[in-house]
Amino acid sequence: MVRMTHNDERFDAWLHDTSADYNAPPPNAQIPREEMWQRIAVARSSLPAPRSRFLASRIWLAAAAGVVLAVGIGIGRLSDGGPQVDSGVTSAPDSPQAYDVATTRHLTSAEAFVTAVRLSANTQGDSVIRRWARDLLTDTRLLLDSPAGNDVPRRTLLEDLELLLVQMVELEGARDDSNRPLLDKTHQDQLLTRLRANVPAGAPPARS
Amino acid sequence: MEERELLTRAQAGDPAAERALYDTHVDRVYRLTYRLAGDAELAREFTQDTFVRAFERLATFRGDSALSTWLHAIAVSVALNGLRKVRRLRREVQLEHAESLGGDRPRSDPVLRQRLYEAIDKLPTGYRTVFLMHDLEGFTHEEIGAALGIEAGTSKAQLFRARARLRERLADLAGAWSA
Repeated sequence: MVRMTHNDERFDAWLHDTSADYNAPPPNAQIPREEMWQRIAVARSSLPAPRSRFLASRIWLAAAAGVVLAVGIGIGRLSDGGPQVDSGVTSAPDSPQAYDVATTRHLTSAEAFVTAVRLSANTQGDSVIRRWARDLLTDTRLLLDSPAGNDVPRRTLLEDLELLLVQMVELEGARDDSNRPLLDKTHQDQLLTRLRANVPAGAPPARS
Repeated sequence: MEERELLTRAQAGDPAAERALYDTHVDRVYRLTYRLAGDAELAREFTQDTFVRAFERLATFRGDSALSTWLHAIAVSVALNGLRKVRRLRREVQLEHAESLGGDRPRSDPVLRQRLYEAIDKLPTGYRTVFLMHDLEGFTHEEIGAALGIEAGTSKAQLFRARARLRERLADLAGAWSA
């Protein structure tokens, strides 16, 4: 049994007083409840069906979707132009339908992203938005280089999305607002409308 | 409305009930993640992730513990995992030393206070978590035990050891508290 000395008790009292300000949160009145709630709603809308128990945040969803998309397109490219070897394994999305599915999923995720950008008061300071933009940019470029980019209206949409994402990524670390006019709400509105028009109703794995 | 009723409605997908549960618990979750992270942006991300995960898994919540306990367990898990990633990233880019994440701290802290903060930063994760939850956020040992998946007695022992470790590390400043 360890016995507390008088000195230990004094230390504990001092510790209690002095440590109170360690990583002190702001007063409850300043907690950004509304902002967090809006982002939670956006994140949940970008998650797949509830039965998926492993994709708990939008970051992980974006990362996983990116990997699937990259592998799918990579295999699709190989099967498109590379030597045809019968491995006995059912392969790859080399059909136009596979690219349609990949594109629809990507545009659904992009729609959630643009919505998040519109809700975010400070996109430059939001690391989640920036990471998300980087992931989406990679996937957008993969799609543009794939047969999915052969469809002219879809290609135009992907290129416009790429432009927005490039600006988002380039703004990372930028101290001034010189590029800000290119990201205005009107551009975002137009892009959002077009994204929604290109996502068939009921197709995306989103929750409301 | 009783929390149990709100919970049932939220489990059935009622957005208003989800919002009511969020409003009830968000402050304490945010404060806890803020204490662990010491950074407003990280605290916000961890709080958001906590609720995203909680709502996704709400159907599996059987009410064996209080909802708050369940939420705090998710929050601690999200925050500690997130902090590990941040520390790894910071080591990789060779920013400041890995243990300290206190980005929002005032820079004008007196030496004594700063020494204490650094000593808290360097506590083992388990000790530090229990210390922050108990001494700074007022959780009971029972609540801490439930959130961390340990016995209340273990929580008490870890708090005792945390304080002893701090006392040891600040021994050269003994005059400050024995005066």
